[in-house]
Amino acid sequence: MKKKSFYLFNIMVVTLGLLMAEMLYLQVFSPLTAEDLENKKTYMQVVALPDLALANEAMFIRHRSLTATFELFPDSPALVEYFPSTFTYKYSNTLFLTPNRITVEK
Amino acid sequence: MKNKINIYLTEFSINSILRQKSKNIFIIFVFTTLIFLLSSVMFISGSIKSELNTLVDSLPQIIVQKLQAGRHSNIKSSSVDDILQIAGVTRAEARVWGYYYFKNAGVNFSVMGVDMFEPQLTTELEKIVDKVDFHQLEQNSSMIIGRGVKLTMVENYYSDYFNFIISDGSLKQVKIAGVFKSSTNLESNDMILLPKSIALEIFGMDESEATDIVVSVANPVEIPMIRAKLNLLFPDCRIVTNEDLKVSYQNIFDYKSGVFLALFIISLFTFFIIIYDKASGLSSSQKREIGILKAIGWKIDDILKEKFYEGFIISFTSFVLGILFSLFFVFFLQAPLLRDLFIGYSQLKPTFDLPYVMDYQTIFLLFFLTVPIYLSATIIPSWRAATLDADEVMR
Repeated sequence: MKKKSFYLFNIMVVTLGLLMAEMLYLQVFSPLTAEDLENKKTYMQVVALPDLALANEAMFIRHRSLTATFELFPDSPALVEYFPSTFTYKYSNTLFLTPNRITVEK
Repeated sequence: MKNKINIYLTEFSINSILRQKSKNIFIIFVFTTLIFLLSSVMFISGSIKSELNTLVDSLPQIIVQKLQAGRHSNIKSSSVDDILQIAGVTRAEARVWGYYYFKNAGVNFSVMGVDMFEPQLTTELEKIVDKVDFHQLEQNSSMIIGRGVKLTMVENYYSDYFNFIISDGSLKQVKIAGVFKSSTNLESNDMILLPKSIALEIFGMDESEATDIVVSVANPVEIPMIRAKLNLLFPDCRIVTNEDLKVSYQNIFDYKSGVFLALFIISLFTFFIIIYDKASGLSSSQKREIGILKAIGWKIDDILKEKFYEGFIISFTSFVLGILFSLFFVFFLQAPLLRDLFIGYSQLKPTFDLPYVMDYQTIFLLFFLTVPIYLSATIIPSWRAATLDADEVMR
């Protein structure tokens, strides 16, 4: 094998090996252990509120899935929708009893 | 032995790559950045989405909310008895929950009222709460809070208790009995869990009222039927099932990844311009090179093979590097700037670890979107040049 091909081969093997090692490491030492998951599930059973605590700048953001169908004036009529996350809430398709995406995919 | 990798050809392609060092380094840089950005966003959104979807299954299956004048309003807690009459319903519970706006910090806390005296709850709480003071809990005047809430309260000099301002303007002092474990931070960051009676007092609600009713159904097949029955029973109510929540999540993440994708189109264009530049024709020196190779006896086959190696080395290396960096960035460094895209911009930001979820589908999608396109952009023009006569190409 020529010198440069040999180097190239080694570089490829090393990068691929690094990728594998990284994936294996994350798989084994994942930040989310089985105990953590169990804790989370217990928490969900106690509190029973959906959605994550990712956004809470306005009251219609967290548990967005539980607020009113069309949140146009949730705080006051003068408030326009301005948080990017407020635009994300779309009413469920099942509201009009058409099959939704998830049920169709199943 | 026909398909064996020809070492001399690889050597030739490496030399050919090295001959145009600056151009190829630039291509590798753009290619790697492209893969890195795209896969990072997909890893983050996949990670959060899987978290949401695993947890939505441990929720009660149906939520009944009363609507009045098109808005959510309080439901009568006596409706629970009617719901329990429906066959298939295992449990129905009137809940009291809502938000408490804390003006000093400008954040909304989520407040949940529970029956603190249930023996099952105590064992469950022991699992998820750090240093819980059950003695205080039993006195029925204390609360369990999330880490973000604790931090905000301490910043505002409430380390042992908190004063809620209730609807008549008076203060309601509630002691802090414990803090949720940090492993549940993603869910519990803004949560305040306190006895139902106190929650009713804070919200200024009547004993006979509840925010909504949760219904547990043992058999998931029966959910649509029970939903229809609930619709008949309470025409003024909105019935939200777990399926609806999943649809809503899908929409959120389609949107959030979509916003990023829109920004990302610019870099995608850069990539395609490079590809276009390569595919629209070879430079005269590259054409002459092919002509000389043909003149000294290379077959078309050999030239295409050499070009394939060249393209493959560049695209595959960049692809692997991109995935390598993005895995490191997302799951080791916890995606410093990019994850803000998925978090709101209030002060109550949760600190959490993104759980590792490997979405092989995404990786394959990215691979087939970029690598074959790049390969074809290198091979097709060389094939066009290689099929011509050697003297014609060189001229």
